[in-house]
Amino acid sequence: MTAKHHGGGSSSDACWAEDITKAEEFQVFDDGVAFCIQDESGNVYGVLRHGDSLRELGTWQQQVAEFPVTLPPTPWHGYPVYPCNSSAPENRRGERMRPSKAVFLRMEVVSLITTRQRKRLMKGDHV
Amino acid sequence: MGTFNTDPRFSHCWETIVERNDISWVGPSHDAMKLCFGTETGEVIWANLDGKLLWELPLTVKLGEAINGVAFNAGQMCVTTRNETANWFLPTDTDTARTYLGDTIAGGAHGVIADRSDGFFMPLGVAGLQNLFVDSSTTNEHGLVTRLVAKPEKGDANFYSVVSLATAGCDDILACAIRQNGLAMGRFKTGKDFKFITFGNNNFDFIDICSAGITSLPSAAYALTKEGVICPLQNMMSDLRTVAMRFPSVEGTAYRILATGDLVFVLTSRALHVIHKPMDKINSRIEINDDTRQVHFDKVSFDMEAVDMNLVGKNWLLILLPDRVLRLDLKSLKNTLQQFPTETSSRISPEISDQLISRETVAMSQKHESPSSAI
Repeated sequence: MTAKHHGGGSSSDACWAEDITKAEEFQVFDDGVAFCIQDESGNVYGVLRHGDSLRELGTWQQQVAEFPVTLPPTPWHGYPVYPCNSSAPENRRGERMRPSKAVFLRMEVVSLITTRQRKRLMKGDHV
Repeated sequence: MGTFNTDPRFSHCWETIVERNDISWVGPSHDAMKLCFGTETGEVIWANLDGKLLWELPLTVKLGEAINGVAFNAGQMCVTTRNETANWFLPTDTDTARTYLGDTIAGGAHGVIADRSDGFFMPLGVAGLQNLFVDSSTTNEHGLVTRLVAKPEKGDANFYSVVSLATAGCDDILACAIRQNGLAMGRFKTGKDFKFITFGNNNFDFIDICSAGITSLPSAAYALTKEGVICPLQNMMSDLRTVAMRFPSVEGTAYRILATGDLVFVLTSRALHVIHKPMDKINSRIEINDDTRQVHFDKVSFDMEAVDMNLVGKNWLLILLPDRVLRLDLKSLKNTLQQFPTETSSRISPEISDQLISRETVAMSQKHESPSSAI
């Protein structure tokens, strides 16, 4: 739980939505680990299912959270990351969009999301 | 609730293309006799109306992510993904030198529309609204397109959907859905400064907006919230009053709204809803300030779990399902209007009008950028 992603950082920092409890934030991470929702670098991703949709996790209506890979003893932390299209900063040009396609395919395989939701998320659309 | 599987107004089309490709977008092309398909692997392909893949079109396009928007304008094609924006000159018989020239720009968009001159607009989410155009007076590194990005100088605006309404000379009248920041509208001329009026409140999460398609009301639009609330706006140039229309049958998460004048199409995570002439009835309610909160509409719904939809002229609605593309024949749909069941809107809420009418003019900071690379 870092203050940076709970309103204590700058206006450009991704923040968890106020209605997401700490328990739910942990649940997002736990499900991501349990279902091996990881990209090629080891970053963990998670969602919160809500009926036939997904909860909005972030203040910019993000529905997927990312937990960047860390080395022990550094604790994991995460933040809402997607979908939230933005123009890539100068120093990030050429960087591939995250989460990667493999992350969405894995979410579909373990039934965290449906095929319809996977196809929409891969386009940057809400579900 | 009807089902499309047995409804003769729906056709399963372009099976060969859909079977061989993971389609992420389908819509009209630059040629009325061709359709355009975007794939999850970043390819753009064309087919004729009968479903034949047009291999002869000498333009191969491939981006790295799923296509989420394609638009055509002035001999150009603009394609967007969540990660890139790309602009190409379409091949012509007499101008082969420019056939394969194009630019790609890092940074994704939520789709793209053509503007009234020779450029494109695309909503970039919290990064703002982008205008992409060919500026012949500027010689940048690649000599093709110039990028203009505008965003509020203060506060957030999550640009999620944009539509160009009536033209005012060479200007575009743009209306945008900016999620929980409400709606935005402004007059825009390619390459020039512009301002937006934003209006809304945090109770409504606007995810889409479309032209009403009514000839006599060129500045009319429908906005849609994620919860399926429809807000008709009769004249976005002069009157931002609206109401919130809620239907009991509109459940799930709303994805898209499109209109062809008489018909309004609302796609949700559970169904496609078609409503007949909602603007007519709502207008009278606003004008006479009637306290009646319920209005009867002719409305039909089809149970489906679709990904997206697009209009092809006034003849077809193309609906992308996870495993197929459906074609809804709008002429045959109109011929069965008398069979539309009547549904009473559960709640017409004029109170939204009081909040949306509060206008705030937002100055937009703008910057020009050159494309990152040439293709």
